[in-house]
Amino acid sequence: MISTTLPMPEADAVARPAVDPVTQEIIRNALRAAARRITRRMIRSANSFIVKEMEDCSASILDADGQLLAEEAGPPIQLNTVGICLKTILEHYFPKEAWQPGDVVLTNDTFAGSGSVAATHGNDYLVFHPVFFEGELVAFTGLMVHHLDIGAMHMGTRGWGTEIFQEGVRIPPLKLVEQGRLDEKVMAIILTNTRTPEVHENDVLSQLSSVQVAAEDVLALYRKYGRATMQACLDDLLDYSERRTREQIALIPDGTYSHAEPVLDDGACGGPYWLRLKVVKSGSNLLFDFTGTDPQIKGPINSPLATTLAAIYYAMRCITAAEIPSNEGCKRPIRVEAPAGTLVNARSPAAVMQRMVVCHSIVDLIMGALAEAVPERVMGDSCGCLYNYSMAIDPRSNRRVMFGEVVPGGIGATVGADGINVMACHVTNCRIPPIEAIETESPVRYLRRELREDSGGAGRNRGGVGQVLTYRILGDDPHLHHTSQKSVSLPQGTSGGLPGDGGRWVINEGTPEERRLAYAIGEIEQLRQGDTVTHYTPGGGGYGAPKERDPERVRADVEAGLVSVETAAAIYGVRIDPVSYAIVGLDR
Amino acid sequence: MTGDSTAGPRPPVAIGVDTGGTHTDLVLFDRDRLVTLKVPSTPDDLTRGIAAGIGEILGQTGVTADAVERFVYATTYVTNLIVEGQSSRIGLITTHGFRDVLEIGRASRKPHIYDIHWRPAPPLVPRKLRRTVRERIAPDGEVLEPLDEAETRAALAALAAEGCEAIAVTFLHAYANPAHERRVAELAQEVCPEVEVSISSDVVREFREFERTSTTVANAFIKRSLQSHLGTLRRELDRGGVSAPAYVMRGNGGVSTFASAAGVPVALAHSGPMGGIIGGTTLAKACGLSDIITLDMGGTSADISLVSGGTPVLTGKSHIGPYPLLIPMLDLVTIGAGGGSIAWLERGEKLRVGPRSAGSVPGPACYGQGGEAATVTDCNLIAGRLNPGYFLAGARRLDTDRARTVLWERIAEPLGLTLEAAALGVIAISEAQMADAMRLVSVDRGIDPRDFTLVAFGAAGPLHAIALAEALSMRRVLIPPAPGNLSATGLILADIRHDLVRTIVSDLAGAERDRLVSVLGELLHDAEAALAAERVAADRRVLLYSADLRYQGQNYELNLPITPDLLAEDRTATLAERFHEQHRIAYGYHLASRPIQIVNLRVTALGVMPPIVWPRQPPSGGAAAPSEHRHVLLPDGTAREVPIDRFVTMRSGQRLGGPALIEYPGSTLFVPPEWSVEFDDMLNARAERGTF
Repeated sequence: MISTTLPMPEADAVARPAVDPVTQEIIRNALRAAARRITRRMIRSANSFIVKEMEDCSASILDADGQLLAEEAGPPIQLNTVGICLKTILEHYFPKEAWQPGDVVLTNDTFAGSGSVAATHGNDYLVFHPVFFEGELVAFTGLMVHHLDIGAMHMGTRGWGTEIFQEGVRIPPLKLVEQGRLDEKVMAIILTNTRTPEVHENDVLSQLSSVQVAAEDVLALYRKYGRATMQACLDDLLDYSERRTREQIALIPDGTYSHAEPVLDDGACGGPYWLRLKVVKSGSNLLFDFTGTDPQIKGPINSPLATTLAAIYYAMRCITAAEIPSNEGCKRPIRVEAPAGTLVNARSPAAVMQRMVVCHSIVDLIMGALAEAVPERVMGDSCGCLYNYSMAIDPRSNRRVMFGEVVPGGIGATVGADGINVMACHVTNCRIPPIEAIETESPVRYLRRELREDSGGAGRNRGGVGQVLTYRILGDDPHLHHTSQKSVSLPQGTSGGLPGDGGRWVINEGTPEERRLAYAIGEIEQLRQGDTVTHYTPGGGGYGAPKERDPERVRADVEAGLVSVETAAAIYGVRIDPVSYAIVGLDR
Repeated sequence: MTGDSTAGPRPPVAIGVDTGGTHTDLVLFDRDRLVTLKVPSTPDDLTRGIAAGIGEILGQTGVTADAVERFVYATTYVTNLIVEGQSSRIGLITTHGFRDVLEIGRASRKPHIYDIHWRPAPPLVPRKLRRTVRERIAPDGEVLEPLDEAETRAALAALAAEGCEAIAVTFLHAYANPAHERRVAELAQEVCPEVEVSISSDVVREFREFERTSTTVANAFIKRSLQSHLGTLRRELDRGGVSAPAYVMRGNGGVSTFASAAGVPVALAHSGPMGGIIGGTTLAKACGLSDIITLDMGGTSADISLVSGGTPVLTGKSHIGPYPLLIPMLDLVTIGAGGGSIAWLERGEKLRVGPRSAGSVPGPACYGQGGEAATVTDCNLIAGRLNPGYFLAGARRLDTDRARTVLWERIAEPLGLTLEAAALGVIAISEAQMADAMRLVSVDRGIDPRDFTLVAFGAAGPLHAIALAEALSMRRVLIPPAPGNLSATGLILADIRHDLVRTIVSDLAGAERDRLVSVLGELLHDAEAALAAERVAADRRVLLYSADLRYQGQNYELNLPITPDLLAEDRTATLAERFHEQHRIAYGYHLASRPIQIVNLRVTALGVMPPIVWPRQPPSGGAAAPSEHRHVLLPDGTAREVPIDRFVTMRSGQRLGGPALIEYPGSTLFVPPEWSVEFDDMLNARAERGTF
């Protein structure tokens, strides 16, 4: 196996012009504001529910070398890959001198360039717009957007692909807009290969337009402060984030920390497969070594290196200090060894649509590895990657439509507090769409969305509880796309906390035709009109021993219906009267 | 709207009162007099301070209490109730299966994505007080499952037994058919008549169940407290002999009677800043200006709003604390940049300003009340732009030495900056934050701010206004004659206003045009009824129509003014053209062949106030004779002896060139070099780039 190491330069010590703290703060704020403007426009004009209600899009401002300068909080997996992809484009497709004012380069190809450090998966289109100042390329604005349908085997690229060629039309990096002119021919190819051309046309145009507007904002800063001052401020900004990240890393005891996490833990597709990690901490540097991780599989869960890096950067931002300004500097102390052709560094023609299964596990893997060294900086495992989408023919339009969501579940507990109930997990951070919006647009009726009792891992701090989500499909010829994790190997607690409950899927629950799906994840499930789908999402892992939990907090959980009387007695050692909810005894 | 309105009714003698956390601003208008007053607020019971202020302003002007014909009130009371989390214990009833809609929300960690210790704000209703009942309505309003009345009675009784003073009710798709929610309200009358009930279809008739629930719950949360507050205020007014009709400012920039406002108290959530937008807009109109950006900067925050064509923009989405609200409000951006904003060093090395504020207690270091943080006000004082002896017209003495000591110790020395550079730096960062917010309301919406006039007020607005105009390449700035009281002035100028909306998703070019016309007819009927309930005379009634349009498939709409005839078959193409154009301006592209949907029809029902006669004086002209000079730091870092003028000595037609300072009783205008100011006949300071 070939080992891939991304060298991260150390901070150089070359003298440069003094940085005025006032100008720097103004520039930092302005760049963030520019990134925010990109996503605002995109969301407000979008057509697909994935963007307009779930806000699955992320903007970044990057320097001419693809280094991250500022970002707008979207799904972290996207934020951290926008720059990675740009670097590949600069290296393999459009070097700096190939860009012209008014160009917009687009790609969605996971395997563009060499390796898998480009787009994250086919539905995520990345676009980049150059910023020229006095004839020189100085920066880029970048925007990644999840598009609804790009012509894969199943709508929305759902289902169980085994190679990238089943995952929709691949667009190598190309100038979709050249010096301000849209390439109508390429656009025609793109729009011909989607089930939803109207949605796609609107959303691609909106994406191209949004990224151009912010370029004006960045240019205005260069006009005001000049090249030298901008450069000095930005260099210093990145150095500052690096310095602060290194200070935080230095607080972790030196050593080697190992951990392993299974994916497809219930045996789906021949699983479980293992992710293995060795974290080597030395001084202010961290090495993440995935040697020993299982090879990529014939299924869509393989992670390109781009998203593996993004998951690592995300976990590191969580473990260091969230208030450190997010930019390239945060990444410099980190080195990654990810053998090519494995689950964490996929090679063509691997299918990657559901790479988030691996990416979420990488976060739990890192937290688990470092739990021994810095228990106060990590958290219990969380619900992981959960998708719940159905596709059916809408009798009103006689067209196939897709509906559903990236499902929130229980989040792991931390040293200071219970885990969050029903929340977007780690590297995804999509909002759930309103039921009233889904039901208006799609042939479905929701029956239940509620917190799930006893699903949060017990602990001094309880893991967040998952949810129960049930809907009835009213459309014809329905297919269910189901992705859930941790149904057998449960979300682990930390520092003595217990695991959260796992996930499961039930069709037609409570009827004679009730059946439980064999695996939490897998191939498209053919259903019948009128069937119900019930999804029990996992809860988060607990933190600390359950019997250390304040009995009053146990009592309040029972009264709120988050913990059963039985669990309170058996696991927490707190006996509670089921009618008055008074504590009647302690067994500790 | 100028002073020569001889026709039409005389505007009423009116008192406007705007209460904030520290000060209560009053304005009295009497024929051709506009008198302002600032008194301390009495946070334990705001009505005491208001009553005292009214007594004082009546005494000052010699107007008798019974001569007052109109009383208008704006308040941050509602916002404070929710942000401080102190109000009634409430219950929530939702559709069976959806007990947790309020807690799950949209399940997003934005913007705290990297902070594993962040937790969402606890819902205003804890889980044990959230109940469900069987019922179900479809998106088109069809009843799929009837309301289970036995279960409903049981839920109401249980919540009442738990001690709930108010109950919110939100059923799925109740915006399309409110029958079930209304029935719950009826049953509550039988089961627990002592409990206040808020139903979502009364509070906000729009889709998105979480946001609608959040709004309804907030409404229930404050209903009783607000009713009691307005009741107390009414009694205080009566006791002081003011028997005039009393109105309160709502978030939509219009006023309504106490009785009408108390029905939907959450509509008062953004009452505070609206007076400023209305005051700025009306004043600008009187000056012949219709395209303005208003900046209202006080101690803790700055409110920025864009007014194009003389009409403030209405929006439907906002927040109160961490909780989303769907209520009509005038669009504004609020940022935590005020005079009290604290300058601090992140890790001892990176200079940041705000969003924390020193408030009024302990306040900026220069207040000498124990404040240990350097604030924007301290920096303005050090820069010589504030007069330590004439702050609030001398009501508070400022301690310059204290400000210098704190700024030196906290900021300048650790950064290796001179005191002067640190002071100017803090001011510059604060101004850059406001400039970013001004771009958000203009450039971000496809509007070029360069041809707009910045109307700046609030105690701190005029200090920074011209620098902000420069930052956005705006050429004109207008400072009203009483910048500290424009918000209160706006209250007595505000019309009675009701915003009515019906969601009716329909193709613009489609066959449902008859339905559109009939829905518009219903809206008209309701609008007339609302105005009649407020006793608005027929000749003061104005109805404005608009439609929310979008391309098929979008979820956010653009609002376009319409006339009813545009819904006629042969006119929809005109409306479509306008929409394409608006979309291109807002988002940079349009889709000429894409179907356009009408989503909402809106009618704004106004009870228009007779225009007031702005006090004017004949021009006397000439250059100002400065009362003194002071050493002032200019934006380029140099210092100069700058002439200081008192506003009270200014006359119509007088001109000044920058650099200059003009000291108002409650504010200070800083005119940097390259700008000049002329006072018009209403004593507005009209600043323009360039010298005379």
